[in-house]
Amino acid sequence: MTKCALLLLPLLVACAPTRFVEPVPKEHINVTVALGGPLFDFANTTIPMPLSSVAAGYGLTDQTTLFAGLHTTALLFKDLQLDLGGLKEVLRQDHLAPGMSISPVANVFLAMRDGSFRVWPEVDVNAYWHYGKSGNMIYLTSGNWFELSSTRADGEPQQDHWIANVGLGHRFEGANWEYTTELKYLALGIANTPNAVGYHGIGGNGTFGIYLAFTRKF
Amino acid sequence: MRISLIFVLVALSGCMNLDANLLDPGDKITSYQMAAYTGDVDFHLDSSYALPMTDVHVFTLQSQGVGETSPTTIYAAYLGDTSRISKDTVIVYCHGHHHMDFYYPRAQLLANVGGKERYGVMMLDYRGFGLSSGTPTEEGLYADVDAAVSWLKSRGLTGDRFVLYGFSLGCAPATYTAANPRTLRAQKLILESPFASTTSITDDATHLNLPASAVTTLKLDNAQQIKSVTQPFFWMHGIDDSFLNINTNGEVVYRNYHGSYKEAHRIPGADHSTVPQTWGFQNYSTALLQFITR
Repeated sequence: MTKCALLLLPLLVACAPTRFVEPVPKEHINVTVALGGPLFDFANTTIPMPLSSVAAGYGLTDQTTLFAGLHTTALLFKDLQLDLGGLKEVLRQDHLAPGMSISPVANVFLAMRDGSFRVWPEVDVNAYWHYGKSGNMIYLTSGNWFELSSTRADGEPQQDHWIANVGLGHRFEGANWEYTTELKYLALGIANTPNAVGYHGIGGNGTFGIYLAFTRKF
Repeated sequence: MRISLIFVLVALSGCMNLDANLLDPGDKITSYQMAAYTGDVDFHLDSSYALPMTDVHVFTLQSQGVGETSPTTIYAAYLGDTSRISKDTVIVYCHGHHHMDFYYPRAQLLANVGGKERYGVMMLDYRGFGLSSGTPTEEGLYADVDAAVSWLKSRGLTGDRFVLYGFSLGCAPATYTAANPRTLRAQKLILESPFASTTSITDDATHLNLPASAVTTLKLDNAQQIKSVTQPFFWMHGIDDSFLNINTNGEVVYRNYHGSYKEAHRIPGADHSTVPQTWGFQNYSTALLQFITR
């Protein structure tokens, strides 16, 4: 077996950028198309996995957003992967003091080949700063996935119950569109080798991921 | 709008999997060179291991798997004197990714265990590998190894002189054939750097309890198949295997074996493909000889 042979075997925690960092205004809808993934070795070079997804968020109030995401690359593999969640603003930005939000998410996964079903809870915590007249935004995000199963493949004990990610993102703000770039560090503190996929992290841990997202505001 | 969306979702659903990647046959060749092969190999042996070219036989076999309506032509190689198959112990070597030229030094090393050509060595290119026709499939792996065993049996091999050896991907057909003999029941099973299952590879890559069915239709379930193996079992694995975690793969296979005898060799410093050379060819050969003759 060769590492490059195992294209598109992603860290699921890396399938998408942070969905929503700050609330969508009340009764507004944002629709996002995202592309990107963890860096890995492929064909003698290093590229981000070309994972794609779409998501929509609805502003329930000015402080609360509900959202749902569909992973389109997973669909190609006959998997239905959804992230269903909400976002609550807990602090409004006050000059240099960042806005803060928290986002609980249920990552729902159905392998349609055999009906295998999984749910992974996730909690994201975000800090964000709008700057300049354009209202562009810089944000930091901490994503936390939880594996609740006590076992993994072949009935062996599950070793990793908490998978943490951190990210730094930037959002260009337009009248109707937003353009987001995000750099993540995935699977913090978890060894990236031995592994059939050649990930790229620091000191043999985790891996970097790069994402782009385009958001239409309604 | 709703119908369009459903159409798009259905159209997107299910047209990809990693089967072809997991059964990647590696680079293509135009002819078999065996000892004269100059491409990349895992290791080179010195001239003392050389075999007379008259004892290196490359030929074709017909392989027909369960549920297949026509046979597939595959290539195989026998290292040794074919007239002694009815008397010699034969090691059927199930290689990993790549082709027989790539694995010739490994087969050559086995043909020197216990002395030059003490054991006959049979290897084969699974369908889609090397010059073998067809497309790799899981059933194809099992059928192709059985085709090689059938060829040996037709020349007088009996089960008491039949040893199965699997390396990496080849551990799947070796373990399956030991557990589910179609033509001949092997006397012993040797596995080098086995993976536990496609699920194990998937979970190692994602760090989650993700079913392998998320990305592949293949089972390649050594961890399960080994439970049905009762023949004596020899396992070796590099402690520093950077590709297949020894703890979540080889150790699981070894632990799941409940047959009559097993021995483990965890090789310090060895990576996925470097067990023989890191252990030392002499140590490797001696350990195999002791196991085969015990």
